[in-house]
Amino acid sequence: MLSFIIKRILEAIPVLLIIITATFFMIRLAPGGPFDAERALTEEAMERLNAYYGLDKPLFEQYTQYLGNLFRGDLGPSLKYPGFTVSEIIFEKIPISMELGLYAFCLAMLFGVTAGVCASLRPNTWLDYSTMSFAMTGICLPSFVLGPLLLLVFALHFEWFNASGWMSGTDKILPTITLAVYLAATLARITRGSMLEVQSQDYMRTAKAKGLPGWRVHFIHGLRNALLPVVSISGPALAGLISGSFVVETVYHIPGLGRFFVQAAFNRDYSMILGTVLFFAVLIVMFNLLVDIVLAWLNPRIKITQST
Amino acid sequence: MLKKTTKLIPYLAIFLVGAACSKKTTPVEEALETQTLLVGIGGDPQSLDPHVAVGAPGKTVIWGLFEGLLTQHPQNLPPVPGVAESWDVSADGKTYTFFLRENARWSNGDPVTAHDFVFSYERILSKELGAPQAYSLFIIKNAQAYYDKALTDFTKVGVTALDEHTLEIELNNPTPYFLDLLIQSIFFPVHKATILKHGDPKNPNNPWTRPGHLVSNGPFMLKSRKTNDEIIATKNPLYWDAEHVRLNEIHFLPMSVEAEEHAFRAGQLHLTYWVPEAKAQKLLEQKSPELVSEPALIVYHYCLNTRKPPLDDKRVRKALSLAIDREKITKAIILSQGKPAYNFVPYEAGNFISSAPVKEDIEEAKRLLAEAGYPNGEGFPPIEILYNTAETHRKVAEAVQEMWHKNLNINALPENQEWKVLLARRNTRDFQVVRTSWIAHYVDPNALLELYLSDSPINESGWENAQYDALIKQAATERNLSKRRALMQEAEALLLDEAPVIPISFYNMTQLKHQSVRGWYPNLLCTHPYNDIYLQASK
Repeated sequence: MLSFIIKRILEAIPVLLIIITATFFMIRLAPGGPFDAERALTEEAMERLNAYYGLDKPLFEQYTQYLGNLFRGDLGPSLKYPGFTVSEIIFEKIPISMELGLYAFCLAMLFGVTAGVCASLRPNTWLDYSTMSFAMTGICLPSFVLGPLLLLVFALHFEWFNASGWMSGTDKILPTITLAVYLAATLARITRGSMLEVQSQDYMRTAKAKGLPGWRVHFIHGLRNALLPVVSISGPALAGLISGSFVVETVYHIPGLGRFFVQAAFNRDYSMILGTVLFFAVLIVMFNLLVDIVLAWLNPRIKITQST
Repeated sequence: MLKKTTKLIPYLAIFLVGAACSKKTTPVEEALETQTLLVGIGGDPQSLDPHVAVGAPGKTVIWGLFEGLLTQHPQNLPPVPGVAESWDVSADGKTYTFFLRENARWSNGDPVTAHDFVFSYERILSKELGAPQAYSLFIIKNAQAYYDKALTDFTKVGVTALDEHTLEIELNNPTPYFLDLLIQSIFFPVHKATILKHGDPKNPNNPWTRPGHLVSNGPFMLKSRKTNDEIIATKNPLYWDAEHVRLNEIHFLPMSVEAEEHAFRAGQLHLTYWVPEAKAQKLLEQKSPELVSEPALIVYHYCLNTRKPPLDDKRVRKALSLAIDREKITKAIILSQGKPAYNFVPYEAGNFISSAPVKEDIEEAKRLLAEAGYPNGEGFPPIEILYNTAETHRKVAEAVQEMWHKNLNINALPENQEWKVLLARRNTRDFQVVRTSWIAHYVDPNALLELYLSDSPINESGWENAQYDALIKQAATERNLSKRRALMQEAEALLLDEAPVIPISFYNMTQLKHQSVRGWYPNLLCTHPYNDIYLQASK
């Protein structure tokens, strides 16, 4: 197991390197720079700023320097916020996005899997149809529609919640629901399909023939296998959720990393963009690894050494 | 099992709703107790350095943190004593002597001295700092020469500390609006020791403005700042007039206009930075007491690149300007928030009346276009209208496109670009027509007319006109007010005739203000000192 994990981590290094390299050069191709402002800076000021941040050096030298600093764990200073470092900003924002992402993930898991199982137990009945219609609506309803809709109804019309911010406990309910709906709906559909497939398997028939109680057949024998595809998608989904959603964070005005990431791109804050991209990449690599481990645990037929 | 699960769902829903229903008081209601002002500021400010900051969000915060020699009367703008207790003006109107308060203090306890102002003005006039508004100081004797490095000795510049508490400023010309200029944030002092402690004073990104580092001299001081999140300023007990400051804290919140409006309705904001156009119109029709829409010195205009054909021909530019129905655009798109701009300087800028407004005149426009070699628009190459992402800008660009096509039979292509791209293209003059708007920094026609001087850093049109420059320069030295007005009118008429710029609308400043906010008044410059603001429940 340990050698598998080490191997995967070593494999991740070139992946991350490619991501950094591509991002580094791509953002430099974008027109406009970090110091472009409503009123153009003087040449002297531009020179001073470029020298201060090392942007006056040849691009390749900047690149190697960035990698060198990165190796020492230094993501550099933010170009937009004088005196703030990139890692400081990321670590200030990420707990908020993580909290929101985790709530949404748990909510989606709870409702998505439950709904999927319910639907699969009574296929082609009103329960199945209504659950799946709901799921389909959830998939079709983008968060930029659902978010403002919930906000208008529950925050502005009924005045049950604050319309923006991330202060009190109740502030977290609407964003969590908005963020969870898509994943819950996806999970419901996948769970249903997967459960139906599993139910037709021989070992399920054997279990029923042995006279095991229905719930045991479904939940111990059936669900464990049916969950495999659910787990495979939940890794990247979780990484996506906790790294912050631009739309949800913008609609509810949550100071998380998702909103900041997009803002950094608009600001052409080079070091900030690189820092956040790298952070997301590490997160996704990590969660994929985690998923592989969980899958192996759920299904002993998957040998860890082969799954690489 | 299944039944049990389905039965649980309504309970869960009731729990969620119930948890939320325990509706507490809103932040705005709580603020009455704590005297905490909650202000939306639009974007997230890049810098809180008064010499470097550009744009309204940063300035809104800086106004709370710093104070200049003079400050603004909250209601009707005339400058009132700030750090300077009193001042004298010499007979020729060129030398001002300011007597600084002995009890003016920085937030770390140091006294605010005349030397702080000399240090600050030297810093602003260093080209290396790139202070975007450094040109505002060029009215001071030798300031431009020092800025342009023709002069290296700062003692030759007309800013002298006669002693700790006396500051003398010598001007090039008697400037009637000089005291109005002093209330702008570019003239605010900064704390020398703090800046030097954190690095190069001429580095625009010197980290001295970080919370914990920042030392200021205004009624409030910086308590905390999270990037793209709340900035909290708390009352400065060492401020010379602290006993009259009634707010305890100000929370500045960078938010999009839509989020601001939601937050305002949910009782989370006292003041918004702006109101979306359509929303403002609706509130105006409902006569909402919370909507404040008052004239401000804002001109929404198109800037033309006069260095590129076909817009290098004055006749073409004038034709384009004449072929626009400004009233239609303003009524249909800019709505309650503006007036059609038939000239460049709004009336409110010192009761300015244009001597040659541009009205829609399609026949004349056609004639000029034909004269320039494009009869009925034939052979006229398509031109691009560059604008940054916003619903209003898109609608205006499309309306102008339609009017030019209908009236002159020429094709224009609206091109939407993200803000940074637009800036980069504008600053390198890589455009044909670009959307711009400008807020004047002081109440005088000069605040707008100086933008199109040949050496103005804001003049992206590439238009250079010696006669225009001469008129503005002459107006600067003219002491007779009616003669000065006539010179300004002549300059504006020339600007409108040469048309490097097409004015479209004069904007109102439109904001939402909670009823409990007292001592806050709309004004032409959209700047608000916080000294007199307090919160009181409406009866």
